[in-house]
Amino acid sequence: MKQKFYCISIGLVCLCVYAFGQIHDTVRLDSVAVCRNGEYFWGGAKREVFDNSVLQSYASASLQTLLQQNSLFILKSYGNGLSSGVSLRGAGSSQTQISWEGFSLNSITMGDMDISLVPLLSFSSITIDHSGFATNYGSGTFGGVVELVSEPIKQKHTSASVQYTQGSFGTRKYASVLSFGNQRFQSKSTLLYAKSNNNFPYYDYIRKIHTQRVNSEYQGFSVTQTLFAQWNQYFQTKVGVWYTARTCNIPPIMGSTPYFVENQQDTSFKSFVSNQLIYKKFQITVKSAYISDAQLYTKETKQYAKMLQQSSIESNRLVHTLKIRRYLSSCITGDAEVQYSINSANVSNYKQVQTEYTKAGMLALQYKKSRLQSNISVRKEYNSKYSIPLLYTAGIQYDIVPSKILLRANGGKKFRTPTFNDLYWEQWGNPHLLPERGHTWEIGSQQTWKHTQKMWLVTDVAYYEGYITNRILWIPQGAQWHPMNVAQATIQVLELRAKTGTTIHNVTVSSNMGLDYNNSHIAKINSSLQTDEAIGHRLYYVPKYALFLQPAIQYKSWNAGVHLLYNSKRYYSIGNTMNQYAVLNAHIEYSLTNKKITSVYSVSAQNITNTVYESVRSYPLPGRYLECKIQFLIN
Amino acid sequence: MKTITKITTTVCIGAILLFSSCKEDPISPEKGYSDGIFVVCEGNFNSNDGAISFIDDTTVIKDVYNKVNGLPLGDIVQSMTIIDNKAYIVVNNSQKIEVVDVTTFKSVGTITKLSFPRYVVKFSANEIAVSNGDGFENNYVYIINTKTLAKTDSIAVGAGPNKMLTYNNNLFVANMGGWSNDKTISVINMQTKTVSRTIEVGDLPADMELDNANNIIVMCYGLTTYDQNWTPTIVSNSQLQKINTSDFSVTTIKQFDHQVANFSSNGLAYANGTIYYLDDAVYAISGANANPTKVIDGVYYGIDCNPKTNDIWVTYTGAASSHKVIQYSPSGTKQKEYVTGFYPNAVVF
Repeated sequence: MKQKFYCISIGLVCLCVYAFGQIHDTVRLDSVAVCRNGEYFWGGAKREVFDNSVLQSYASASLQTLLQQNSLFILKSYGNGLSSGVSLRGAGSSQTQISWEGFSLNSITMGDMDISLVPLLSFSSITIDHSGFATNYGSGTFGGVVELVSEPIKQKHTSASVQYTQGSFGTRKYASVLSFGNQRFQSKSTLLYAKSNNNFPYYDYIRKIHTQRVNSEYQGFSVTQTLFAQWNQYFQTKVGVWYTARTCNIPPIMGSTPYFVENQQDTSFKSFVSNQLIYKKFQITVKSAYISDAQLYTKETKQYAKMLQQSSIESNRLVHTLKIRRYLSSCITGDAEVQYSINSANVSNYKQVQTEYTKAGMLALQYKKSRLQSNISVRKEYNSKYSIPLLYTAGIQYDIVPSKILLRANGGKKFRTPTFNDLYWEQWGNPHLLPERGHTWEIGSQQTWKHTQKMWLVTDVAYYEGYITNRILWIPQGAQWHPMNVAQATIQVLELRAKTGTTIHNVTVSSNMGLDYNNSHIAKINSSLQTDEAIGHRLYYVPKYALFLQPAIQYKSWNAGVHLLYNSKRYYSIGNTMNQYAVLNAHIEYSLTNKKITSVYSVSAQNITNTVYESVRSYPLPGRYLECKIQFLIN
Repeated sequence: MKTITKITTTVCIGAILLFSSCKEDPISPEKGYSDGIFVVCEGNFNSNDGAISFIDDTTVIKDVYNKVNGLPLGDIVQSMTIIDNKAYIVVNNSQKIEVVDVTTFKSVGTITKLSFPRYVVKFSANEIAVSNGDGFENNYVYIINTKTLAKTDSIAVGAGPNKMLTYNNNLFVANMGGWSNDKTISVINMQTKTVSRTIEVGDLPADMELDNANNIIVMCYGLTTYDQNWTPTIVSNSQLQKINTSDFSVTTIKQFDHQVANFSSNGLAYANGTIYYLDDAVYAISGANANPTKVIDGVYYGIDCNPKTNDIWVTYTGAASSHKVIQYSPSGTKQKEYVTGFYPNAVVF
């Protein structure tokens, strides 16, 4: 396998060398227009972008809903309103980074990010970087990166939007957006409030009874403010503030008697400041972010309201980055970046406040010319607790048939540091854990078979492989579970995607579809901890086959669509599986514009067929769910 | 373009074939699960990982129900009783009893509408009795028709009915107290399906065995109470008692000066004239001698004796190592051990 990796690396290097031979002498700054300010080089990566036109119809929804209904992501949801984690390509949710303006939002205590707390209306676009170069993002990108982007509208505008959603199980959502500005100053404010009783009926296939979920009420709100100022032609500032609060009861799991009342309260404050100077061939960006998360968990007896358990988590992250971009020629751009971060956590189940310091330096080079885009980068990170290897990434993409066939490839080294819970959880944590490390490579191609106003067909095929050594897994030892560097995991996934559509007169019929074949498995294991049956075993919660189909039809102001998702069986422990399922959703929408006000009315139905399914073992998901929305857009 | 399509298709099909694999089932269809023993594994609370582990000479299957039926058994598997080639698996916190064919282990039905089921015994040719109740409410012995799996009778008994035993047309029910406390044995006349008498024994009668002289040996754990701050107060110590099934008189075999270090419902076993009980080790009392002798070192969660070989099987549930069952000879010599599911509490032969 190493030979295969080296061969591909050599191939990439040869292509880069060939590319460098094509450099012209004249210097142009085309890259400024092409690259979003501060965006990392991503040549050769597989990326999916959900822009404002897609996000518009999800105004009161969370990132969880968007990902669930628009592509193939492995979502682990504990139910509506409860925490949800996302993972890509068979890697875990702590190996998939959620990034806001380049700052990782993954919890330093738990490793993942609760995507049910990410309101979509706050962002201008969501980018799924399936390849997630570790040299760009640092720790925890074996599965890729989900980027939340807030780009200002650099033109004179004033717009507002209000939305009300009424759903099944006593669900109500309110959302509003106010955006205004001109070429020099922009402001965007968003507010989202959601509340639900959430006590839906379901079939408990363990107790073998039809029952009603109890104690699953939730309410939460999220407010964001983004400001942008273009002080002069050289200097600009962007500021973002994001506050989220949620309280939710945690319902009993399927198959058990509800003896307890559990509640979880989450609050999160996130902020960043970014200053950018663009002068001649330089672009200098200085950014800082402060992210503070808190969680309080309580457990009481149902009968006597006697407190049985209470635990709290408080974590803080402070990050500073300095990035210098130099446009070396019309084709070549260089990046140099240094980062410094302090992570600290005060958790009732740790013995003391824990703090971790990280320093990182990154160098990257991009070559971009007409049909070819390639980049190489290296990153060295110093952590106050671990030795982290030198990371590297190389990526290349080439329009082998212009506007028809694009080939891409990338490979690199990645790592993930243990979470604070892995290390410090009293009695259960393991302070001797080592970081996960490994490498990934990927090849892919996008084919544009037809692309006209009246008809289009675009397909994409990608193969991704990764090897993770020192894989951290929580292993039961008797009644206690401890995290250990137990295994080498291999990620292997083949992804097929297609987008097609046609417009005849006023009717547009389109469809997105995707098929994933995933063979991610445990390749090697510490024999003293597990039996041989673990070797070759599929990774937990990763379906072997996943399929989605999303046909839609649009006629004048009417828009309707269907979404079908299929996941084959998934293992939740050695030898034990959760059933395969197919879920069908549908929506219909009508919009009406009267002068400056557009009103949008929509009805959607989720899980139309009342399928009994779970994405996290023993946590039932709702059956048929209906939602009505009304939205007013003022421009 | 066509070439690329062909290559893509070939790569996809090749990859799917390359990565596909299958494994052989070690259990033969003819023999099924008839030649081996079963271990009742409670599982972790609120985790739905209760299981029945199957052990034969060459194979250990940790969760045979899930393996055969493709579904988890549920939360806190309390007991399993084999009656007429069917196994009745009581899943306490899932409030049900799964009924499986004991050879194939395929599910043949589920008894629901229970609140706190504990144990099952054969009641008549077409009926079983189920002890049910958490000590506060629904403290009943339910009579269930084995054909329809529906309740036919409900007999009110003491708090937290637990182990049951039938002898001479009487059903003896140990009222262990559940989340409350009790100190009685209810005797149900199996003809009239009524409680004919209530026998007072020591606090929290947890486990019972029928000895060679048809007396009932009862292990009573003793009572501890707690105040609002969960500060414990020991009210009574453990007692090992004997009920004469002719006149229902109670005699004490051993009055402990402490509470035994066991809190499961399976801390007592009987084989070949010897009483075994769990405390800080495994102790044995033989014949008329009431002085126990230590036969096996170590603290265990459950104990059973193989009725054919008289071997002693103990279940181990230590906090920091694999949960397992260990087989000892009647004299206490270790034979074998097998890793099982979580919290094994009993062995069913």
